[in-house]
Amino acid sequence: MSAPVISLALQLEDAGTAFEPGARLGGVARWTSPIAPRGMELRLIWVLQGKWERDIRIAQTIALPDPQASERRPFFLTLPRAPYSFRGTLLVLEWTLELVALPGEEKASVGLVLAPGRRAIDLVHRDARK
Amino acid sequence: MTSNASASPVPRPLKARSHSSFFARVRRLLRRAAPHARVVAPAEVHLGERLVVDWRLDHGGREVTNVSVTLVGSEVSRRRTSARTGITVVSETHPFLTYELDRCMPDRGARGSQGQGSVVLTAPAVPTLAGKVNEIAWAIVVEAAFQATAIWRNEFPVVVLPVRS
Repeated sequence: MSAPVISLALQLEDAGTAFEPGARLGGVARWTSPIAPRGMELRLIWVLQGKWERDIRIAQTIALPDPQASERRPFFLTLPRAPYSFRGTLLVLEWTLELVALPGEEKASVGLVLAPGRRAIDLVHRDARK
Repeated sequence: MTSNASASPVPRPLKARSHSSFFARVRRLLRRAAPHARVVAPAEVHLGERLVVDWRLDHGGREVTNVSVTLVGSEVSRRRTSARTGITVVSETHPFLTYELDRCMPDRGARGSQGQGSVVLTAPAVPTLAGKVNEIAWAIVVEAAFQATAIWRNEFPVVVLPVRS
């Protein structure tokens, strides 16, 4: 028997995906499912992708309690001060906000930029002696 | 008024990255003494703030014509491979930013040299970050050379923190 189909969506306030460190992020999580999910949570994740392997870290988990089968749930969270989004020669760091339905771990996600000036730091073109 | 939370850490002697193994110590006993550096600086610095470094290099019987002291930010990417003989870690390092802190040309026959340097860590750069395999690392690097030939190098890790809120 196949698992019930669940539809998930994440929408951020002002449609912005780039933030200053420590900024407040707001948005709306939406889902539609034939039955109420057992749980629903937001996960703020960074991925440090190396040349060969990657590190994944869940920076914050926010539970959305008592989910109904179909819902529109506003949320707010305070972003951490680090690490910054960056792109280098060997490494790239990217942030993602995920809406995760439990127990099946179905997901919707939005890529974020977290850095001073709201732009991922370019280490490749800073490759110089000062 | 400055609160304790925002005060800069007190400068102190930093530990070198390479620690002497037993075999390295034996090798050193059988050869001419290698140079030895002492670096005094805060162990942590925020991006956008000034790092002041005092350094001293004992030439250890070597003729040294150039000493350079730099702050280097590096990307470190690692790969773990498992085999029956154990786990091997291969790493590749790429320096993305080098700030010159100090440079000197010791007198001929000098037994040592010393100096001071400082730099403001211009934001935006990337703070120290340690994943399980990959890393952003910062270190004060002391290098000694005889003419154009590098003869000794050591690194003294420092932690670079995000811009103060």
